[in-house]
Amino acid sequence: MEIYWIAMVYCLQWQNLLALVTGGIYGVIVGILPGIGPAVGMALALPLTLKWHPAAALIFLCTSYKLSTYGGSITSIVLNTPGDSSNAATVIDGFPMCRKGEGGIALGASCASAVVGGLLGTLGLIFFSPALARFALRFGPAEYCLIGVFALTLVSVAIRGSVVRGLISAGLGLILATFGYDAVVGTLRFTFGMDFLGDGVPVIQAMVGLFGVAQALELAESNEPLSRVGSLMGGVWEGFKKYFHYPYNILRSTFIGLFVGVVPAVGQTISGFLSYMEAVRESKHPETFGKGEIEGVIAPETANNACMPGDLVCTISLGIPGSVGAAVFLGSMVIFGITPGPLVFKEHGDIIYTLFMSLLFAHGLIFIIGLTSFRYFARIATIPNVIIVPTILTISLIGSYATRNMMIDVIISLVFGFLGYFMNKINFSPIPLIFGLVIGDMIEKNFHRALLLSEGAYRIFIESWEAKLLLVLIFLSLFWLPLHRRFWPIGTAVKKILHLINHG
Amino acid sequence: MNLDFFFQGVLIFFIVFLLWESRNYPFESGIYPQMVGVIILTLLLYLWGSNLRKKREHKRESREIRLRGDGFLKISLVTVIATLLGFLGGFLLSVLCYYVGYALLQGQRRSGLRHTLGVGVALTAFFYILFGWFMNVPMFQGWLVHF
Repeated sequence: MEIYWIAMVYCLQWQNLLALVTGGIYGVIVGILPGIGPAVGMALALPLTLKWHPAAALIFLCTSYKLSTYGGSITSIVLNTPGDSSNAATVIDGFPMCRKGEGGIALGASCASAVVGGLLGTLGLIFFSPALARFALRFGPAEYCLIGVFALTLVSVAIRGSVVRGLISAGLGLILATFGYDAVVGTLRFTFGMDFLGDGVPVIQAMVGLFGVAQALELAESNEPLSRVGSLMGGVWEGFKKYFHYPYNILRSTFIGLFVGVVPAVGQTISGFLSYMEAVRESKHPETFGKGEIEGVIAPETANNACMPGDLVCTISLGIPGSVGAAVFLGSMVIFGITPGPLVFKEHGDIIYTLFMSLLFAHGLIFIIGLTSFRYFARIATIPNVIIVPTILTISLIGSYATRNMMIDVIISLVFGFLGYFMNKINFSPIPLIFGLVIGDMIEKNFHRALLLSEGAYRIFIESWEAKLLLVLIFLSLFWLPLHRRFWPIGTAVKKILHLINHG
Repeated sequence: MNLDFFFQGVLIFFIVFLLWESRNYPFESGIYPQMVGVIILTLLLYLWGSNLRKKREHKRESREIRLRGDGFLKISLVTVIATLLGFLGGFLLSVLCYYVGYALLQGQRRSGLRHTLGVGVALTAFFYILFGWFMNVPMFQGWLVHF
């Protein structure tokens, strides 16, 4: 218990409080801008935080990640446009509520979902992470290598597009992660005489390019405004109070979000839809869903907000990101010298527990922002393209430049930006690529360590029961899930939801 | 040309090139990228082959993914030129050029352009204060200019 009190005191230091508040405001703004999302927001902000104390920087990034999910629900409800894919399920009932003149109630319910779902999820994070870390101490290098491969295969299967394209994208990330000095022998690989590649493909620049620059290019090409302002009615506080009339929905959605979040690479989008599906299934009046039912906002938003701390459980305890946002956060931790994994609580316990406490405080921030400022934040999405596009581009590239004060980093971001733009055009998701780039080094190091331990014998990858289990999971994720996709519950849920919408 | 096909072809060439490059590395350095490269190459050839087969079987139904050439080229040109100007006059010059370039690209003239330029200048100043002053990032460092 003492560690929690110490962490709370650290959290209340003015630098960390300032990071919390600014991170929260930044996160809401990022969430409101459709298509930007928590991962892009963190990638954009990461270079700004490089010179900060690691605790303050991670608090800023984590809080922005947390509040961007809430920010995305504002545009889902008000503008019929999810701020991020994780808010997609909220649109189904959120916007119809706004049309009925209950937009304020929907916003209040989403605010309460963020506070309550997030609090419960954060408490789960605080209690589960150390236990998971202790369990993870049983893992050796072979198991860690296989966990990394498993996470990559899950991402490749879960994202849009074909599995093969996802795997190719992930493989590309793994290959790019081998550029630069080899960690085992010290050989300089694939630099082609370019000194700036000596440290490998820079992760920040690649992230910023693949998400920020690519997004700017797509927005510029579409030449459409981000959105139009919908009318916002009052009743936010009423919606907040109404939320507590559905305790069973709240608990069920929290559990779904936390459980989905802990599983690597599944992510908030799926937790939102799963929770919505369960709410429809268990409702006494399922026919009201899709027409502006408040439970249709409560379920996905509570699950989303409980999912995010669940994401962090795996990221911090095992070093395996649970989603794209968690992957960016993982990269940030590594950059600040905090290696996620089972030893993180021993080596950097003060920073990690401070982070946990700050997440608890972040929910108070959601409460304040949600009940006072939602109207102003919603207007950001109406800024014309001619301002938004160069601003996103500037923030992306200035972040790349500020890392090493080298224009070549801007060029690298541009190259990855064009790569991300083309990949999105032809249904190659860049998400597995960035996953591969972030965890590629970990996979390779553990691969070599495992072979060193076994004196070159590859059977080490099938010796322990944990390794066998992971291989079975990799096989299942590659071959069983795609084949049975039509029978997968999420497919059935999506069909039900579409049926409700079409016959609403 | 079909962009999908072209992209896969470029990737195949890239991976083959990396595999060729890695043949001179010590065994411990080369084995991992070679394993990954072979797996990606196999997947790429499979995808390429299956796309070719689908194209032959469903000639009428095949949709070719093409770029909206004109708009994309303009945007790319503005972005690249503005960034290259940063090499000459420092990154802050690129920032201003992004706003000017995009405003002209969007067809803004006169009052609209003045408004956008005003916002662009204000934001450029903001970025300079935030990065140049507070974070000591050299915003005026280029081949022609060096502050």
